[in-house]
Amino acid sequence: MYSNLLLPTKFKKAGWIMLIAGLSLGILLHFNSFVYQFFNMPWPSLFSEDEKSILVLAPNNIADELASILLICSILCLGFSREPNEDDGIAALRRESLIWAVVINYLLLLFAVIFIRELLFLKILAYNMFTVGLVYVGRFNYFLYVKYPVKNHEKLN
Amino acid sequence: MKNSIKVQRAIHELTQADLAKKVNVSTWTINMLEANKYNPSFSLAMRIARFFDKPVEEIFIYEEGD
Repeated sequence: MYSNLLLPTKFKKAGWIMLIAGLSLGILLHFNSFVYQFFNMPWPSLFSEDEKSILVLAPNNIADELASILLICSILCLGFSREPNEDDGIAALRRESLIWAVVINYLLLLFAVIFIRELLFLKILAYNMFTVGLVYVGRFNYFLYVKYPVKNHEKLN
Repeated sequence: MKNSIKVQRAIHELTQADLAKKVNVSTWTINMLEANKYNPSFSLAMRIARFFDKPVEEIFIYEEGD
């Protein structure tokens, strides 16, 4: 992993905040059929079904767009911001986690293609947009901070 | 690839953080090296060996299949 392509470390904090906000909103939208009126506003639409012109401001409930934007930005900030002590070992963990995430993502997709039909399949496709990033961020942070935490307090261990 | 970093650290009375600072890597990487969960790059292996003033093959033990 080319560490000069990574974002500065401070983006990580913003990433966690956006992840919590995005996941909370996403879960609310998933389990509630209720439409949050305060999310109704004109929103730029490149190809509108109603309008013949390209790039118009069309009325829209932006709750799902907002959740998606928050999740995508959080994954980018969390997954691709530099650790305070970024080095070869952490770069290897990034590479390995990314490979795992892509493989798991396609296995889930394969399962859905084979066993799931109709509207539920489209829903799974929508969630599948985030699985590669979430698995990558989850595995990377789990190995870095939970499974193999650094023991600075021990003198010789 | 096995290594004797932990032994060398004990001889020199260094913590993982001390060694990490000396060879310019993260403490996590030293932790992973000692647990044999990560094979170092050639330059890192050289830096560690030079720091302990030992040949690389004395610190890192190559095994068939590595």
